[in-house]
Amino acid sequence: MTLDTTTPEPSEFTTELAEETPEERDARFERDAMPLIDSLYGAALRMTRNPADAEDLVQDTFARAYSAFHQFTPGTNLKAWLYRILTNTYINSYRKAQRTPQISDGENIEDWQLARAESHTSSGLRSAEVEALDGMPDSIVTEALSGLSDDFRMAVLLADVEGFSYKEIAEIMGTPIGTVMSRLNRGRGQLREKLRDYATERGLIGRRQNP
Amino acid sequence: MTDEHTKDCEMVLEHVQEFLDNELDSATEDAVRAHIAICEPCLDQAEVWMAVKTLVKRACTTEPAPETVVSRVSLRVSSLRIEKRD
Repeated sequence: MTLDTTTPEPSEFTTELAEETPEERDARFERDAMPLIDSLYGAALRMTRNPADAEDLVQDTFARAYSAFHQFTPGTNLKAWLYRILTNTYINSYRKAQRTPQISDGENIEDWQLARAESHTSSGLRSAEVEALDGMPDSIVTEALSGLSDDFRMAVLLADVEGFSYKEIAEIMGTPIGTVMSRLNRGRGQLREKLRDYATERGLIGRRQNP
Repeated sequence: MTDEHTKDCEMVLEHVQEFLDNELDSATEDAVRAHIAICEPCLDQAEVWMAVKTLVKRACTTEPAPETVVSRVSLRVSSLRIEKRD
């Protein structure tokens, strides 16, 4: 006796899709895509940093997604697909329009490697730094995040807030995985640095000793 | 501290974020885990990066989109639907 599987064969699935009526596709959009509006709006708000732009961005994203929904392959990651549209829309229209001065990425390898080498010296400060981080007010964290360059901030948010894998982030941002890793490493590194400065100023952790 | 150990520290510091993101192949992941178990400074670093990740997630909790936003988006999609039918 063979086991009966409930998963349709790929061929059946494709046929089924080809036969999908526009009404069925609309219903699928309503059912699968619309519920993701909360997380997309949250992401839009963090990208644009103002509610009016965030609303426009989400509207444009859903309008584009609806028009292109026949290109989306069911069974693949719809959330990642929508984020990709959101990110592209943001990069192509809002970021240009906002004309906010771009903070330098500090894209030189030496800085990053230096920070890494330095961070490995002092053991005694650790629990203090972790404690200071745990007690950090959310407002300070969001402020520190908005001080990062767009690319760094987006990589960090896609990984740590949305939980996307490196491969998914690479697809969303349209970059190689190596770039994702470097943006994450540097973005989190700059964040850690900003938060440590805040904690040091408040006397929550001791000043680092120069060797 | 041996050269071997220092080399392991370098390896761990290079991969610690990938480790916490569950993005390492299992051999490297095992190597990182084994080293962290015996090296306190590296464990310290892993804990700090973990705290940074957790903090970002905590500070960016998504709240529901405002009703007005949801209804305007629905309206926009509906109007596209009608356009498509005509």
